[in-house]
Amino acid sequence: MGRLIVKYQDRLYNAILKICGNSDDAAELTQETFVKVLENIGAFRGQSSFYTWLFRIGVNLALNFCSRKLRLGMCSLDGGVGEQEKFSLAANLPDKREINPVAIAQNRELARQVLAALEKLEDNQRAIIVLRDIEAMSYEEIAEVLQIELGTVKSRLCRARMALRELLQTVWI
Amino acid sequence: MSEKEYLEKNELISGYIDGQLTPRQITELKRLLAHDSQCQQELEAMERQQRLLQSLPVESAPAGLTQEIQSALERQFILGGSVRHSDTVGKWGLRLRKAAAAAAMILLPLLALSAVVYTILQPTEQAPNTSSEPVAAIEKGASASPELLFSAVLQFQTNQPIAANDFIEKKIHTLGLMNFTTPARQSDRTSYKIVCSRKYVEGLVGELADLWSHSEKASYALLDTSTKQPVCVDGIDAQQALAMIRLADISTAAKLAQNISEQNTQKALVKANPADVAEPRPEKPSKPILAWDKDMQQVPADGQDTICLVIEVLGQ
Repeated sequence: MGRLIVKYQDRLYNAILKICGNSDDAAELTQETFVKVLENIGAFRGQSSFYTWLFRIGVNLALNFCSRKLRLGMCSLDGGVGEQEKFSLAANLPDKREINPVAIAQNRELARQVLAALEKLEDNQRAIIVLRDIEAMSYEEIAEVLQIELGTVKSRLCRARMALRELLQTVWI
Repeated sequence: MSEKEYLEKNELISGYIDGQLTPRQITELKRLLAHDSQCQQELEAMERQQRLLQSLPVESAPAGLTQEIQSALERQFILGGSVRHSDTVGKWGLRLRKAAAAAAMILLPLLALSAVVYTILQPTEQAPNTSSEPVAAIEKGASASPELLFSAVLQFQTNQPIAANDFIEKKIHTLGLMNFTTPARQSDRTSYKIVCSRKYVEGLVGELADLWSHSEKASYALLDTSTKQPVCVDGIDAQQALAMIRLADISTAAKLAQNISEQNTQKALVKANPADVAEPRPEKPSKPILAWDKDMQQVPADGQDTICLVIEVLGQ
């Protein structure tokens, strides 16, 4: 189990962090995922890979946590990019030919804005984008993790990307 | 363009950037791109968006998370599945747990008081095992068995039961005694029934020496497997507990118990004297024998010295 933890904890933590948006919660959810994996190891039949099974548990926990957090009004997901912060990303796009402190700072700012936009998506949309575009899972793996049909993966992913594009639109121009 | 057509077009774009389109769909998209400049822009925006997401910094798990996970798994292993539920995640979960702990602090003394009142008012009926006497626990927890050399209970009263339990569980795990330990939890106490070779129990009790400094009181009760006569020592310290565990026969144990009780009474008198000096810290025994070092299946059948020790932590 120790080797499995070392092997997967970073990827799982990173994905959960992108879904729930808070490092403390992500660490605790990652820990809880491994505890649940141990609890239910008898139920793992090997029909899917351990990796997708682990992520199924982790993503489910993260989504449940997000919906509970939203229901209890623990924090507002509207607290990301404020109106005053919306400005042209075109002006902030770094020049790839040079790496300097300014470019690094611009990259950080860009990442911050993308993450803030990601936070504004619905939980299910955010999860599918994280799994596909950040975790680089195949459609089949995403279907396995989220327990949805392949066709649903395609349509949900498309809608999520459209919603994110909409949110980022103000910064593209 | 209708909403349906707009969605279909975007599904094509989304599928295209993921390489999921059939040749026919690719042809269809190329036709769209050739005639629709907006479609071209949407494709570029989606590709750029994907590149951005892929270039987001990958956050590594915080240092120490591996250790925390392993500790949680060990706790899970020892306690047989009562670590946490998903309801308790996050800072609000923490507040919930704090509120629950506060409620428990109020309710548990009331429950204990109720049990005492019930015992007084109903003297003829069998009282439940709410007694803090180790003899009560010995009869319930460490039932005598003909294969056992003896059964005993080592009981700690503490106002830090969670820390005490964590400490005991860690030591049990470190010494590789999980397979020989049966934990049980009640509202006011946690017990660990350990059945294995005496030398491993000695090692464990030696490792628990620090627990004494965090306990209000420690008591020890020994049950002779043949006569079922209990021998009790109230206010036992770490060295005395080790000495009791090392004893083989009940008559010697009874004498030692009497000596220890007398010693403890004298110590109490000395403590009452203002000129009392600090009591020396109980000396830890040499390195304990680890059950890990042996084949786990071989340990219980290790000669004629298998004993049962119930370690009980009382406190709310």
